[in-house]
Amino acid sequence: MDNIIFCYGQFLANTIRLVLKAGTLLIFYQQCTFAEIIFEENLDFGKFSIVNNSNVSELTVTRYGQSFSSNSLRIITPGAPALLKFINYPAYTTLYLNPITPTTGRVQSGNSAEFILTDLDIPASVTTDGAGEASMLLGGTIESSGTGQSYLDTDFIFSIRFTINY
Amino acid sequence: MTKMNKIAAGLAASLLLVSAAQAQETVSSVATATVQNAFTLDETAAISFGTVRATADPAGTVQASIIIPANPTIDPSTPASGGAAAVMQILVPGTPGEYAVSGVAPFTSLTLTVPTGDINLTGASAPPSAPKLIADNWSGYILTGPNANTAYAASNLQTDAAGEVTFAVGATLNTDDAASTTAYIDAVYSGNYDIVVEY
Repeated sequence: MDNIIFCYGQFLANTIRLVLKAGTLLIFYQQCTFAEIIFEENLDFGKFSIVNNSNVSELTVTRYGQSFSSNSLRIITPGAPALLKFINYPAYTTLYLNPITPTTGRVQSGNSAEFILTDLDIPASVTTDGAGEASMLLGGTIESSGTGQSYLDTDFIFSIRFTINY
Repeated sequence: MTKMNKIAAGLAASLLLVSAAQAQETVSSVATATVQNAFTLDETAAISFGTVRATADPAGTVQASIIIPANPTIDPSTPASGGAAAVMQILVPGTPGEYAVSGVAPFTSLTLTVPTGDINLTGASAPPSAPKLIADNWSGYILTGPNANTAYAASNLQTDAAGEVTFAVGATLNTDDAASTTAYIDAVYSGNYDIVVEY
């Protein structure tokens, strides 16, 4: 009889423990699932010429909107930084940001020299407001291959990736 | 500690774990960059040598000439031919060719290449034995941009803040330097020439 009572108590305790764990996971899930980052404007490096790729040339669009280039890369139309909005994050929370670079730019078609996205210009952290929201500008730097291979007159697409820790 | 106390302690630990959780996410988006190495070179006006009275030296020894300066503020002229065997007189003055460059990065130096050899101008209805006209001594003159109103020299063809520049091209038209047995006909004489602008 004592064993039956003990087994029943054990079963009850395990059940409660499982329910509590599930509740904990649910809270965690709710915190993470609805957090969202919206790119209201994508990063645009603008329009430029690069007629001599024998040396590495760089193009930077800062998160404050300035564009500058080096060597053979000449800006025709300046680019613009990306505008991001963080929503549904915990209120008054610091989000720590780390860029993931380098990434290679790709063209839709054709054989062209490549650009490398070497750096993202983002703050080390942003802090959400009382509504769990924050905004951020994002810039970046690309560089030519410097191999001597020529570039097609076309659009190059880069993946923008960074991690958020909080 | 009873089982319920253990459960309560576990619950408290779990809640603390939630409040101190380190969430990490990776964000992905795209950026674009557009390469535009090509630019626009428009011929506003082709060079015109005007209307001339021309006589070629049948022996092709002496040439008469008309100079169309690249600087459009200077009138065409006829330098001394060195002999009466060849004659070139202006009836209607010619004008230099004019060209416009656009779509280049601001303040970029460009290279202008004009014909370096002779460009032959022939009349479409002229007989094969008729003399030809020869255009040579091509030159450039910058009309707009940071170096406006100066003769073209290496690397001084520079675009303005809008990435644009215009220039003019002049040349000298000469009577034929080869022997001929017939005179020039009254007709349009034309020839093709290349003007090259590059980075």
